[in-house]
Amino acid sequence: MSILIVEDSEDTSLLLNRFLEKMGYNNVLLAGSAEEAIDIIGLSKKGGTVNKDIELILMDIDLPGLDGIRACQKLKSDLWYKDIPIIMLTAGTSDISLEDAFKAGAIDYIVKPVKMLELCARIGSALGLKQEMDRRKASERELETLARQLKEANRILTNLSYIDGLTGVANRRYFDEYSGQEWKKAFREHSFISVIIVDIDYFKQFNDTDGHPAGDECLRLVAGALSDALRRPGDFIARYGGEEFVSILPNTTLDGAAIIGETMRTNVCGLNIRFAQSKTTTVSIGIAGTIPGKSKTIQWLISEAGRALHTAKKSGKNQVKVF
Amino acid sequence: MAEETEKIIVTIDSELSGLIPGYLINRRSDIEKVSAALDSGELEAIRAIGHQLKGSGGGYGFDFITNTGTAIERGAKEKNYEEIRRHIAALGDYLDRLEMVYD
Repeated sequence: MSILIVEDSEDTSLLLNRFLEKMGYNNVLLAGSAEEAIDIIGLSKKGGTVNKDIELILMDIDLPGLDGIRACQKLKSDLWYKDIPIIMLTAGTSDISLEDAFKAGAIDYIVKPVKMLELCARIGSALGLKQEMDRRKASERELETLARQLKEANRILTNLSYIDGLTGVANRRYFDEYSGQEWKKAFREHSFISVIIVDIDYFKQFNDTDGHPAGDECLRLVAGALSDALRRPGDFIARYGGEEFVSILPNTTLDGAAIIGETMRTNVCGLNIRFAQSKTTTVSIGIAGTIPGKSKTIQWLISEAGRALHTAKKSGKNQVKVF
Repeated sequence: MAEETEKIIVTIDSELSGLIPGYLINRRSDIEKVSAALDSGELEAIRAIGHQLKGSGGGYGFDFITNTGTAIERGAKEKNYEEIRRHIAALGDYLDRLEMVYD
């Protein structure tokens, strides 16, 4: 790491360099003007590489050309140099220029002629403060990283607790939570809400003949086909248990729900999943819908959809029934 | 007359010994520059030299040079040519009589 001296008086510059050498700072850069300093630092050209080796700057206020105050402002506007301590050197103690120096971002000032003892104390203090600030910033960055990681871990855990591990759609727990919220919302808004229950036909036979791994694959494919039938952001599908799926459709009339139910059915047929050598996997679907009222509950609506599903099963399967 | 030739002893940090000869040569040069600037009325140049003398002298151990620089800078600001001449002469005399002791 190095220290940059920005001083137009060669005599003062040489003296400071000698003092710094005596203090153990052997890597000292000298600039005779602010412009030269900006060049050394790498800020003279846009997009240039910034010299990140400099850990402290000693800069005369009274420089020819760009003065020390304006040079300090320029350096402090750089993302890297805003944290590099700048100690101003002044041969006068004009309150105005010192006030300007602090406003420009200087951390301290030394009145010339510079004495070694004072220089040593001021530099030690500035570098100590910078090290403390760097340490705190590193701690803050570490905490921010940990907070981000924790947030992400929580997000993953939340997702895991709401997602059915086999099919990737929402699980029963999430459905119970979501359907309750949507029911209340429909109640408040006096809007129609529909529920679709889907059951895979002959699924027990599927597992018995083709085995559970094939049955699991069937569940995954059916879940995807059912999800594909949903078009609006509020539409929601979950695995209800076993080979049953349930969907809640806010702001959807029975006619609209029937169209979606039929799309689900044809999507599953389109998968052409074969089992027991010749049979094709189909689904039976029951639909119910209502505008929520005080005498009704979401559980009632789900049981109505269940009744419709039962009718579809009794009527020969692979069909949609609406209650 | 005896007083004029009397040496002025200044104790200097031995770590700075390598810098002292060059520093004093520069001050002789400053005397010439200020004298020339006085003739041509370049008060800003004189002020700048005074300012640099003020800022450097004491650091090397030459408080007299800092005080002289302060006076020359002030003289330039006040356009007091006589005052500047007087201090330049005093600086020349100081350099003539100066003798360093390094500790």
